[in-house]
Amino acid sequence: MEPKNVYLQDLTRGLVKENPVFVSLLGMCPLLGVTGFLFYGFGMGVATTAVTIGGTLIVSLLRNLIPKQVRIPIFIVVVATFVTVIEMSLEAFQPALHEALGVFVPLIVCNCLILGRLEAFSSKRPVLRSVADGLGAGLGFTLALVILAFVREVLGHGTLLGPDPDTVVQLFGPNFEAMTIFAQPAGAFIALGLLLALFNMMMKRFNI
Amino acid sequence: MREILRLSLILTLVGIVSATLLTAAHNVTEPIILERRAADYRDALERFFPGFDSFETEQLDEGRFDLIYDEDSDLMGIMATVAASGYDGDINYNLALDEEGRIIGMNIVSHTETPGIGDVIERDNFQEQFIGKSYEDPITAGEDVEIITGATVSTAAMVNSIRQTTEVAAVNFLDVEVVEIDFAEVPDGTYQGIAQGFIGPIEVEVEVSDGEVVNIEVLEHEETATYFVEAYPVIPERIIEEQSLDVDTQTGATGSAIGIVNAVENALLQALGLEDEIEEEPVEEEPVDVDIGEVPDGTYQGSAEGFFGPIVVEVEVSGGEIVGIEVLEHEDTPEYFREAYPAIPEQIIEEQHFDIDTETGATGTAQGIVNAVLDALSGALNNGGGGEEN
Repeated sequence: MEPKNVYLQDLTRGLVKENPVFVSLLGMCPLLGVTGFLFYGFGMGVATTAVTIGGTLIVSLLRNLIPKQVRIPIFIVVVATFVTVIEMSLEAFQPALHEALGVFVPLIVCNCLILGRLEAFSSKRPVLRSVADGLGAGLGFTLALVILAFVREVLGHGTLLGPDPDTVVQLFGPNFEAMTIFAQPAGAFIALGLLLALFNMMMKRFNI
Repeated sequence: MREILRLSLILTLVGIVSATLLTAAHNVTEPIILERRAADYRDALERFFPGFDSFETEQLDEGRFDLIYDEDSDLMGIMATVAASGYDGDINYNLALDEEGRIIGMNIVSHTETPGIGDVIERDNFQEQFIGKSYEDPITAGEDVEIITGATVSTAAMVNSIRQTTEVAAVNFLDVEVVEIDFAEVPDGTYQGIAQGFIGPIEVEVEVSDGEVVNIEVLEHEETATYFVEAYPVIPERIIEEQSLDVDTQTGATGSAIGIVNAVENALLQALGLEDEIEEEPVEEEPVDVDIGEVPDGTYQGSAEGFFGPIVVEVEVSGGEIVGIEVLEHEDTPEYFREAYPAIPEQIIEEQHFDIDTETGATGTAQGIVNAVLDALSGALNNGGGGEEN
């Protein structure tokens, strides 16, 4: 295999074939918690992707220096550092998003998606491949969040780009009655279940 | 041993590097965060107190109170930043009071109430009912403000917190005198008192002997039983033990706890003759009478206030009887509206009078529909039968 293809492969693997949400069912907690609005889901995806890239970069750089016995604590400290930096930056520059994501930002630390990539990939591979892998996994996660948040916002609120009144688009007329269940956590499960079924059907159909 | 030391050293090193990075990030972002928060807060202040000049912060147990001054250093009002315990965590909000303690407005800063249910606290209709009220008003559910069915806990929490905040602000900053009760001055005897709890009134009986409160019993209450046990009998025990009303009310049911304390205070105030006995006045609704038999045939429109806005109805009368009622416009929540419509019109048509049971899942809406129909028919009669006939 040519070296160029390796990077591309590392990058795209996380998008569909090994999508952290639709295939591995990782990171369910933020997935269900913050996908009430498209903007929140996207923000969460970007924050998680940034942390994943940072984590894979540092861990693959230090992979020969990290002793095997204490690798997990070190991974967690690295991830936690990035998460805290992201949280502070969000509060400073994206206050509305910070307020909306709330406790789910610090919880990125325990997103199995990130630790999984570090343990399974970055700790054994060179820097560029690890970052490509991390970026792919992050984007795959973001993709899943965005799709779920889109479905939930449209059905649960009847809007797009909400809840900020400056950007919100009302999709339906004034008599539209939102399916409130989709705005609530139970609705997130239902929507996720339907999306998983759809995803699996497509995977089978196209033989991916 | 060497190995353990090596691992510990590496971990320590990682920790030090991480802490250094975080300190740096903190130093960069903290001033921005603080500045933004201050700017947000000044915006909120400017909204309620246009043209204010400065403020002075007082921190109390109940929250933060900012005294707002104009250019001439005259007090313009008070901005309270407090929290109510909602259904699902704290509801943080600002309450703006004018210089006489009347509510100017409020601003929900953050909450975690259920979307689509508890977040009615953010609606203008809910918030506007408090405007103009002060520590002198009861601010009590069912008396001068309404809580919202389906979101009882969230809205009752706001009502209780707002009442408490206006009182705290008035007592601390507006020189409103508090009547201090000296238990020793209360003559021996048994007294009854009443005060608003979390959901409804709490009635207590207080026994005083030799200048001491010796027994407190709750006679009646409407609180949720599972919460009420958190406040009763703990709170009476605390009052009796400390022989003071200034007891810690932070329990699993703070609203009920404060209600009990206030009811005891009410009983003792009555005992001392400082407060009139509260007579229960059943609120008599003024009966509106429309003789349907006198209404000429035709179709009439009328409107009345529903829960969230006006309800417009069209009533069809034929042969001295109501034969059709249709709601043309309303602003009530669809989920609740369904509880009253078409059930209420059907009941009116069936019984041909207006004294029907409006206790549905949406009483406000149901009563609104009845009133709108009455409005249509009385309009028809007053116009000498002209009305808006089709």
